[in-house]
Parts: sequence; C-alpha cells; structure tokens
Amino acid sequence: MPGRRRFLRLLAGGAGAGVVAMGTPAPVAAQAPGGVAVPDLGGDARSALQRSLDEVGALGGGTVVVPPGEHRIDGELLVPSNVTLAGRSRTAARLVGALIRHPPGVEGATVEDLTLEGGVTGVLFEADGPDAEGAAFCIVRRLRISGVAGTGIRLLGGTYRNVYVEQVWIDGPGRHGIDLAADGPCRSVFLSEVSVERPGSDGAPDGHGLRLAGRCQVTQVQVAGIGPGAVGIGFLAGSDHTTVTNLALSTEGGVALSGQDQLPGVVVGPHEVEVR
Amino acid sequence: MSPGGPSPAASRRRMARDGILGIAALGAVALWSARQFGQPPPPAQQEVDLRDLDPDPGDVSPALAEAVARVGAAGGGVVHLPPGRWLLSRSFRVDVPGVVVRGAGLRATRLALPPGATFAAVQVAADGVALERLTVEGNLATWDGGSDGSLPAGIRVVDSAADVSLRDLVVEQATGYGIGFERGADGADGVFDAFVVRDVTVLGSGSDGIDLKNYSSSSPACPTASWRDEPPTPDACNGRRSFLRNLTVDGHGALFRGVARKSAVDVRGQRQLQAVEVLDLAPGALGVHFRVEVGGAPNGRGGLWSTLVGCFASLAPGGPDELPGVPVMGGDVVPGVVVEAVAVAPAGP
Repeated sequence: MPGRRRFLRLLAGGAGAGVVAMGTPAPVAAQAPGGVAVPDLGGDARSALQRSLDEVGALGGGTVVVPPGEHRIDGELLVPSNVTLAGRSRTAARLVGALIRHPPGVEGATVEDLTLEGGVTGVLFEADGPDAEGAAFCIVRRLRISGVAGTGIRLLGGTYRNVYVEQVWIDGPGRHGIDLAADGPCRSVFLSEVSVERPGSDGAPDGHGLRLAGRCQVTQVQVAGIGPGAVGIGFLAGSDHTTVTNLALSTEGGVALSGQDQLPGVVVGPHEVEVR
Repeated sequence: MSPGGPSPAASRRRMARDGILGIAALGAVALWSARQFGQPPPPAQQEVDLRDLDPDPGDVSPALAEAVARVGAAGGGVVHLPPGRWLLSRSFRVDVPGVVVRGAGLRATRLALPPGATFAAVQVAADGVALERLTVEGNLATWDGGSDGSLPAGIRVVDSAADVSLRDLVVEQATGYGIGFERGADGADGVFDAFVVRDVTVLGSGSDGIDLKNYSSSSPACPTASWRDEPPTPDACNGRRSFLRNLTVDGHGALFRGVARKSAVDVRGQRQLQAVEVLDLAPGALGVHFRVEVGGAPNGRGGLWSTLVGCFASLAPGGPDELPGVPVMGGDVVPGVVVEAVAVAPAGP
C-alpha cells in the first residue's frame, strides 16, 4: 500500500534513518533527508528526543536530527549504539542543561553539530568496570560546549578504542575540558582540532584543558586562559606513548604541561607557550 | 611494454578486454531490446534511500547498482544505506561522478563479501565520490586461496579518480589491501590527486593496510625510471593534495608474514599524513612506508615530499629469529620527507 508506506516513511524522516515501528507514538512529522528530524519538541524536549533516540537505536541505527533553536533539556539524553545525535550545524541547535550520556561499552555512536550550554558534564562515556570497554568506534565532532560546571567531555573508566573527538570548542569548564580517565590501555583515541579556554573556571585547583590518563594521539590543540592551579595538558599514568603535535598554549598563572617527562614514550612536538 | 611490441601480458589483457567489449555489446543490445518493450531508464533522483529499492540482505548488489544509476542520472547526489549487514554478489562499483554513499553509522551499515569472493567489496571509479559512515567486511577469515591469484581488497579506488573522500569507515578482514588506490584492471593510470581519508580504520588485512600507487603510462612525459636517475616527477604524473588523518591500521599483512614485508600505509605520491596508529605490527612488517624505488608499473614513483606528523606503533611479539617490525620506513632517505612525533611501544611479554 504505497500511500501508507509513504506516510510511515514521512513519519520516520525518510532517507538514511531507521523506520519508526508501527504502533509506537511517532514524535516525527516532517521528512528530513539524512535522518529523523524532531521538528517540534513541545514542552518536554528531553522526552521527545529520547524517544527518537531509542526508536532509531532499536532499528539498528540511524540519525536523530535536533531542530534549530534553543531546547531546555535539564537532564540526560542516552545515545545508544549505532545512533547519531546531530544538529544542522555547530550553532543551530542549542541544548541547555543536557548530559549526553552513552551506555557502557557503546559502539558506533556519534554526537555532532551541536551547542551544549550549562549542566555539569557535556558528553559522557563510561565502562562497567576497570577491565571493561568504555566505547568503541564513537565520534564526538563539531561541538561547542560552554559553561559546564564540571567537564566538557568525559571518558570514565575502562578502555577505549577508536574514539574520535574533533573540531570541538570548550569554553570555561568548571573542571576539565576533556578528561580521558581510562583505566586500561586505549587504542586509537584521536583528539584533533580541540580548543579549551579557561579550564578550571570554578576556581577549584586541578582543572585541566586535557587530562590524559590513557594513550591517545592529539593534534591541533589550543588551550588558553590556563589560570593559577590549572594545567593545560596533564599526562597521568596510562598516557604513555601519547603524541601531541600542533600545540598552542597560553597561561595566565597556570602550568602549560605536566607529567610528560615521567612517562615512557610521550612525544610532545615543537610548541610555544604564551605567558600572559 | 617491451620495445619489440606488446608484451604477452598486454596481449592477454587486450584479448580479455575485447572479450569483455563483445559481452558488453551483447548487453547493450539486450538493454536496447528491453527499452523497446517499455522499460524506462532509471529515474533521476538526487537522494535515494536503498530501502525504496527492496534490497535483499543476501544479495544487495542489484539494489546498489540501481541506486547509483538513479543518482548518476541526476548528475550526483546521495545514496543512503540502511543499517544491517548486506552481502555483495559483485563489486559495489561507484562509477559515476559526484555520488555520496552514506551509511547509517560506521558500525550500523555493513557491506560484506561472501566467503570465496575474489572481487573488491567496493570500487570507486569516478571523480568526486564519497564513502561515509559504514563498515566493509572482507573474507580474510574464510580465505583458502583464490583460484586466480587475486586478493580481494576492501575498497579499491581506480582509474585515477580525483576528489575522492573516504571518511568514518571501518574496513575489516580484507583479504588483499584494506584500501588500495590502484591502477584500473584495464591498465588505466593510477595517479590519485586531491583525496581525503579521515577517521578510517583498517582492522586486519591480508596484504597492505592502505596502499597508495602513483603510476602513469599514458603520458610520455611521465618518467618510469628511478627518481635517482631522472628529474623530479612532473606534476601531471604525481598524485598530490592528499590528506590522511586519524588512521588506524591494526594487524595488516596476515597472509604475508615471513614471506613479504607488507606496509600499514604504502606511500607513493606526495601525501600528508597526521595521527596514524599502526597496531600489532608483525615481525618483519612495515608501518608507514615512504617508497624510494623505481617508478615502474604497476606501482609508480615514490613518496617524495610527503609528511607524517604524529604516529604511534605497537609491535607484536615475535620469535627469537624474527626481525622486529619497522614503524616508519624510508623517512630518512626519501628526499623531502618529514617525519615528526613518532612513539613506539615495544612488544609486550
């Protein structure tokens, strides 16, 4: 029945997305090539987005597109395996008070083209235990994260492989810009085109632009406004054999780099530190 | 080609090609006949959702060909692939310019070679093609030796296709190259210009992880001898403007261990690489390999003036008589090559 099928496709958002199963309440009302669009989030944006994320996840994967505008989330959005949560551009959709969380051991999830404002943590990955896998083949890309009370992007416990964090700007995180708090050996964690300004902005000591407790490759990174007690890039146990290239650092009473000399194999490419 | 005339191999190729042309002519007649009886040409569509073509998970190849034909008829566009594991009965050949093939997620959409298949899973044979957000599965795990000696690649880019973009991809268990930028089967040039490979993982391969060739036979101006003996490669004969970033090659060369030194990334042409991981580098194998050798067919000239910034290699354990793997080869002898920030972790206990 072509008419019915087309209607369902319309509901599902068309090309590239999972199809919303019959009988479930469909939060979607417009065709959006490349993903499920959620055009009207109504009074409860968090529930509407979460329902779409769950439905697309249950269908094996696809994209949930956040419409332009400011959306109050004030809670958690759980992005399951194989699902992409994306806006139309880095600044078109702004999620306020959102924690974008992934289930432990998530595989193939992507968060891209969004602005995150406020809240405690911007994007969180975690593992079930020290020996468990935190995430694999996940992408965090083209985000602006501003005004989080804690950490912009946090990879907590466990091991990580093939995680790409790129083209991310993080402004004034209360603690760290990016915290790779891994417990075991990481494989292919790439941080590139990352900017963190004013890490540790809540005044507590020990704020890091990048806090690395797992091996990774870091390219094209800028950390600025490193105030008293703060660290630009900190290398902790587990970050041996990390490489850092194309680095720009600017301190305002804080420490540019810490711990790199205590670990085997860490290579930090040529760089200058601006002292303000 | 030898001075005395076409080589036996060239003659064989020509005979094979003529045979193919004959078959193609028959096919054209059949197609023309079908059209006379009312079969329309593919409708032009800028976006095609493969699900609209009722793809068969056991053989997705006809639906893929139809999708590319429709987008091609529109002059370019996007083919959306749904989540799921889809078996190929022939190469997924993207041979019209300007086609973007986009999966539903880099682990959600999987194009898979069946056991025993001897063709590359995906072939890119036109300018401006992009592959994004999917996994390509080869058949290395079930490989028991091909009948015709060919090792099927995961992704082959051929015919000097330019402006190719490979992003957010996983190529796993390819029997031949994970990704090969190669000459075409008909001997067409393989000079690759202006491509991007970014956020790509090659997970296990029988041969090289990523192989970049740089060979032109069509222009008499292109030198075929060593760079040591001849002037620098003219621009028209050299692949340039190629950027590779955030690459992982994990366990390559599985079919050649102890036989030949296969490379994680085999660099010919002028390429710029940043953030490359070579994991479990086997004894005797090579990581990023800047080629120095002569420019003969079918591989072409070396990787002069290439750069590698940021590289991690971990060595796989080996026997007492085995040479360790070499994370970066040729960086210190090939003219103009810059290598910076390499970290190597020794083999574990």
